[in-house]
Amino acid sequence: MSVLVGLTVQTFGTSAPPATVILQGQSRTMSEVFPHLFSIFLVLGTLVGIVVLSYMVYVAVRYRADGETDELKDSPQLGELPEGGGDGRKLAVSLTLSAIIVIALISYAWFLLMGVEGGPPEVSGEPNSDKPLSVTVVGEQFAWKYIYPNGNSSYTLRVPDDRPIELTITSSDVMHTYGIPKYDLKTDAIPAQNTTTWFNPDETETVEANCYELCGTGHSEMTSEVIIMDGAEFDRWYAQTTSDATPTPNESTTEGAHAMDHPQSRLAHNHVLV
Amino acid sequence: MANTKLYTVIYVVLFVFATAQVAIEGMSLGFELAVGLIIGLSVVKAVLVAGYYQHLFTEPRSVTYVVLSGLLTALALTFAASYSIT
Amino acid sequence: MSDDRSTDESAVQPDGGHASRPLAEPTSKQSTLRRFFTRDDLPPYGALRRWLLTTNHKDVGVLYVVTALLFLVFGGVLALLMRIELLTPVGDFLSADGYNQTVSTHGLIMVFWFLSPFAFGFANYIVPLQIGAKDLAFPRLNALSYWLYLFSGILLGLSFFQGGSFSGGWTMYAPLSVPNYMPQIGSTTTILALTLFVISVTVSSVNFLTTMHRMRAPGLTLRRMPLFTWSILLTVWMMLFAFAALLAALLILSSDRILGTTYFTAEGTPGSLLWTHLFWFFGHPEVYIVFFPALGAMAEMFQTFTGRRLVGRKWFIVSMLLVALQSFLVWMHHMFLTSINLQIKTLFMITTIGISLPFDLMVFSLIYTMVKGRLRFTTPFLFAFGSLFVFIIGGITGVFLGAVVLDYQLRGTYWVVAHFHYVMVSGVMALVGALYYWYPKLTGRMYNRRLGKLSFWLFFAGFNLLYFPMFIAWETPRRVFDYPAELTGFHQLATVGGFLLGFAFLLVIWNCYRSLWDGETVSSNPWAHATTAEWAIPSPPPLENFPGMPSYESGSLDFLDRETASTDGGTVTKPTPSSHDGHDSHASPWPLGISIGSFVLFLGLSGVATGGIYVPITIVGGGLLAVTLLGFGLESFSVTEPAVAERWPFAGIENGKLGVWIFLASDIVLFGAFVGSYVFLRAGYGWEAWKIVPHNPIPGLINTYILLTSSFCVVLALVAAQKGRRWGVVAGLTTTLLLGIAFLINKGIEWIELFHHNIWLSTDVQASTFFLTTGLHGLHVVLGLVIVLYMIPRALNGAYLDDERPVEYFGLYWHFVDIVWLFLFPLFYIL
Ligand SMILES: [Cu+2]
Ligand SMILES: [Cu+2]
Repeated sequence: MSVLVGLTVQTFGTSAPPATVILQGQSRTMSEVFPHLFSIFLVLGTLVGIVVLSYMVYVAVRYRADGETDELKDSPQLGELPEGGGDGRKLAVSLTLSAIIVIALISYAWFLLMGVEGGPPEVSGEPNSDKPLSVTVVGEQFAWKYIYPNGNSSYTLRVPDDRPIELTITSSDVMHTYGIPKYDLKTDAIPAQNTTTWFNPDETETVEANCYELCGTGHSEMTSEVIIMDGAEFDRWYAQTTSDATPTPNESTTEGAHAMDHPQSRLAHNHVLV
Repeated sequence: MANTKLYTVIYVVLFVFATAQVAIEGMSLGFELAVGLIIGLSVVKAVLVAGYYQHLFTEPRSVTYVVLSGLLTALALTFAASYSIT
Repeated sequence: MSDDRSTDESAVQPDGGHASRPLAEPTSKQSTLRRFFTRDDLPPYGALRRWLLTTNHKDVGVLYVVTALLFLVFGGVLALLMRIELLTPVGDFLSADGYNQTVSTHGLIMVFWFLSPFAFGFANYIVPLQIGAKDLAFPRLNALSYWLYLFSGILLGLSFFQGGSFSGGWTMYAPLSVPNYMPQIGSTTTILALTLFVISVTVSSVNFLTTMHRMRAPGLTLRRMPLFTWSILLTVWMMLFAFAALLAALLILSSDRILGTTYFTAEGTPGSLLWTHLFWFFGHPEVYIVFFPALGAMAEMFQTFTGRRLVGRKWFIVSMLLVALQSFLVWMHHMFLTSINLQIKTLFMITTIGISLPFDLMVFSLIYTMVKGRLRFTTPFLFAFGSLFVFIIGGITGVFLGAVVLDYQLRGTYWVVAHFHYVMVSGVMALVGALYYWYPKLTGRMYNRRLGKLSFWLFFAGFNLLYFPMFIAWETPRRVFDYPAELTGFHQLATVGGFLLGFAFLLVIWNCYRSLWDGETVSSNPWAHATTAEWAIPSPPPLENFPGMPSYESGSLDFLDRETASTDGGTVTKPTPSSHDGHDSHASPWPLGISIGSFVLFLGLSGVATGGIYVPITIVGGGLLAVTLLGFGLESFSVTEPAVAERWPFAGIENGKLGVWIFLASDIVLFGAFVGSYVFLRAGYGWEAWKIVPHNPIPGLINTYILLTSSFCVVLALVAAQKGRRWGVVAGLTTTLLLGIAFLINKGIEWIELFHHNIWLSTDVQASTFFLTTGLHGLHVVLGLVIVLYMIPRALNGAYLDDERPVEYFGLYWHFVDIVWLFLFPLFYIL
């Protein structure tokens, strides 16, 4: 149990925004919503778990047969037709209590869902840099290909840190699931279907995107780099890209040291045992 | 129970309805009306066969419920899945 | 709810549908033939032959339990291979493909070949005892279910030797599962093995439902059934429908793999979503299918070892009932990350949360039963208690996944892995408790108590050490061997726990094995406070279970003298003497034979598209299957239906007919899922843009006429049989046969015509759905014709004149095939 409590504290320690922030504003990213909601569920879940399990253990100890008081009055007899053992009121109360907790939690979760599903906030002002950047993500065995609005494509995602990023995700072969754990973002990549999600990068860093749906031999290695750049720097980089710079899976168009190999080449490392 | 005359009448009705379904397709009614009529006729035919030829009308009602629960299961799958398409 | 009770005069009931009451013509050729096919004597326990021939529910139950434990070892070894791989955060032990095969087969074996069959071992053994039946309604079909199960598992094992087993996860997502991405024959074999398993499950479902609805001891109304029996009843109802949807999914997938249809890969249609719908429509009820029996066993153990009756028993049953119904309306919570729309997500989030509440009630009910009891912590109760303990953790962590927003992030991670292992293996824990609980009844001996307790503590410790760290390391993506290095410690803990749990399982098996010789012998009721009927008879029970006719009419269990049993409804007719001396048969070689035939056939089918050795294997398998089916049909196997029984709500019809109807209900779901797939793909494609495959509807219309006429002929045959007109029956059946053949010829011409226009199964999705759906219907027609072909010579001998039921049962099937066509015709030819 103490592990779970430790975990809870640890989760609270992360930068979960306070509830008031969450309750204002219409649209929220998953990285705002998820840590917040997850910690609420974790605390309540741990609490309920501890109460119920302790009660269970307490009852087990309290009413264990001690060999002295041997028989109960009115104990069940062999061959009797089954009957209930009473105590229906207690049962109803417990059920109502747990129902209230669960329904309240889920309603709140649904309310937050609406914020995420709403997509990035509407842009009212003119400055170009506030408009969301739309990138198409195509899952292919076993890499993620990113296609920018100007037609440029790459196996590394570069995004600016000053505007929302809208991702449209699909697949060119089998089902995959695209996820960037750092931004608590995840959605399925399905052939012939589009799914969308969005996020709001806030610091320049390099994070990792993973695949979360078994998609074949290279599934474990199906990762890609997501490079979050300074907005102005991004604009300069983006201006010099063109649509014909389509990479082959084994080389990346991006020049930097982070250039990523297509994961297929990395599969060779594994021993063959089976 | 051996009611040959009734069975024959039902057979004729089924025959006529099947023909009507193709005829309806030939008449250029609206697509939706045609679909409604054709499926409607199929349902009536199915009820006739199940009710008389399979004796569901005279069997205990519980057997009909077994059949209906299977049907309901299939319909739930069909409609919810189709509805979920974005 | 009125309690109907019928005094059924026809006490002798054919088993399996076609075989009719033995005729009173001992010298006829047919009887010689039938005697040749009949092996009626049951060899003693020690002989291997007994286990190959037995149809007795207790023997079959033991076979199920033992076989399931073997598969547990198989699946467990695979799990440990994975855990060894996960000791380090990089792939260094298994190959990438090897890891995927291990993951997939572990899941498939544990869910299908271990969990349910383990539970159904107990169901086989205990349910007839608890309801007061001598055996299941169709004992040969029960043996058939077992042998199909065993051979489907062997087929799965063989897949590893055919270029590699299935490697797309137990959820088998398309299109990864089609040959483009997974070309090995072994993957096809795995899918066919699962198909064979589903057939076994369907046979078993029909059998259990008929038994439980029609063979309960007088006075044992549905609401008074013991909880284990209740849990099995609801499980089997769910199985009947859920597995039919899975069968549709598997048939379509097999066709995509073997025949080249393009359901899951066609352009312009949501093929991969189709798979997720079909699979999860089965998959969520499956969660309860594997868990309910454990829950029922838990309830029994809680009552026995607390010495108290279950608190809120009625509400416990109502909760299970609600869950069983609603389980078919939550499947899309597995698809929250796909492209389904927001409305449906919201709807399924609500139904999902709704289905969790009845479980709260059941948990509280079990806990409150302990209050003021006298808890005896025997080994079974330790396991039941431990199971409830971890189930609570599994339940709470499951609520996280019901909240869509959390699911968005938790999906595809170890949170899910940890959660469902907490739930599923909690069920296993309860079933291990059930194994200890019923062990004295099955064997007549007590397990080693000290070893039992030791096995529990190792089990409990291993379990938590294995699965709890997974919650902490939840950010690990599922099914990868390459995970963030900082989580290594947790995964290493889990591996240690895995080995501990594996060792605990071995200890359980060892204990059960050794105690067969070493255990002290026990009385009929070694647990004080056990109330259900299995504890009122010797351990192990005699072949036909009860010393007299069990009855609860007096308010508690009595054994009445069979001959003098009477009810308020009048006296009971004595069973009509059959050609045997009124005794039941308990042995048949044909279930085993049919299973071997199916096994060989399916093995052949797995590679039949590649030609070579697989073609002769297919032919041999088909031939073997035909011969053994014939043997099954001709064998005279007698089963007595109880003269008096609680039969609500099916008092008005006999076992055989109810069995046929229950089977047809599952067939409705099978065809429904095919039609549903068609509608779904067409809706995704654009309903009106979809072009109908046949060039004109006239061949279809002619076939409609043909089928309608053949239905009419079957009706006339039945009328003739009722009136005792031999030639009327023969004429009706023969015309049906000819019309059926005409139907197939007409269809053949139509198909060949389409092939000439270069329209093949693989051409496009329209052609795929057309050929496969009408092809499945055609297969049903062929099957019907095989039955008619079997019936005509018997009709010539006058077989159906004093018992027309086989004609009626065949009619039910044939009219059903007719009705299906009434819908396929407009859907595929007109609209
Ligand atoms: Cu993947
Ligand atoms: Cu589910």
